[in-house]
Amino acid sequence: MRQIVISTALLYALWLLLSGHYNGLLLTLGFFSALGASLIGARMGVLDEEGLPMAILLRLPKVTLWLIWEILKSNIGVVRVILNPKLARPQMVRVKASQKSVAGLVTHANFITLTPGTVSVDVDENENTILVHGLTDDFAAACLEPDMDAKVSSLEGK
Amino acid sequence: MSAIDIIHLIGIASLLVGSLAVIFGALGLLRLGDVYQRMHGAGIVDTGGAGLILFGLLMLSPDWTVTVRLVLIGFILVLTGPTATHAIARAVRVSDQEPENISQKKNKKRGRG
Amino acid sequence: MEGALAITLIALGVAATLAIIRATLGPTSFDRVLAVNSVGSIAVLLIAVYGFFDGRPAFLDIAMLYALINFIGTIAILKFFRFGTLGDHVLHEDEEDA
Repeated sequence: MRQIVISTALLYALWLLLSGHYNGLLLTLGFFSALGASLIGARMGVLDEEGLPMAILLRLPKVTLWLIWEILKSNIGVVRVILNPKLARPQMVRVKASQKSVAGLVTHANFITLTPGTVSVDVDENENTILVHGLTDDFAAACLEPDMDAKVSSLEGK
Repeated sequence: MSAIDIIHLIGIASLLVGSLAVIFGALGLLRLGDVYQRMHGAGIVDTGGAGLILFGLLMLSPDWTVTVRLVLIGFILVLTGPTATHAIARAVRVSDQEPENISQKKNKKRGRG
Repeated sequence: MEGALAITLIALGVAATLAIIRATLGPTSFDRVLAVNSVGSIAVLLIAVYGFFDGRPAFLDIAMLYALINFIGTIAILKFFRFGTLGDHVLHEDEEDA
């Protein structure tokens, strides 16, 4: 029930932002389409803690700036490799993740893929590890450091 | 020079750097050695290139409806880009076409452990 | 401002061409999917920048839809590669993995 209310509110806010027309009829229709979409989502069973991880979404702005900085740094590193492909030393490393929830693990894997130079290839939710492909030794070593892991875990709270 | 001019200059600079990033990313897609490495090139297009170009447009945006849409496009790209890349990487992993130097390393590690 | 937008458009065009060359060269089908996915991302940016260039912000809605469809398309192609169908055969994924 709570999930349906949150999801309807989010969808209606999105509708209001995108619509640009505000009269009685359209506002009502917009509300009912948001409610309908949420009900269909609930019926499909996608509106659970994994489909709408509010805890993580609300804390996301905390790490945004840090993430943008990381992305810019590794962008420059990858461009250097592209200009001189001989520098590339592709390798696979297994990164231990300390996240407790599946949504947290997925966020961690997404952050790893989001920084160029590292791509998460396989996520093992039983052993809480992520198989990462690094472009060079530096990139592979960077994602083995506990820095990103700690940041993502702090998103989960508790 | 007014504040608007400075914001526009930042936007234009961001657009130009973003164009450069997109070209480098596409160049990486073309030049790097195997599928996994090319993903990093595609990653530059999705993060650095798209981010800088959208930021540049954001600085040039004439009114708030445009700003909302640009932020939303950025949000969608940030959510879907890595997911699609991960899906491709995993598809390569489970297929029998994995690049050779990587699969050799995989075997070596297995032998040691 | 027009000039910078025009340069960006040209750069995006060049990048799309490079990605299409990779999609043509292959060699594996995953290279092609990756390249097509990149072409899609570039197309989203191209539509957005062109909207600004032409002074028609409505193009941004199209760019948004393109971003979503690009993602769904990539996932659909990969699913088709793996299972040979987009239908309910996927329900048996566990059996196939084991």
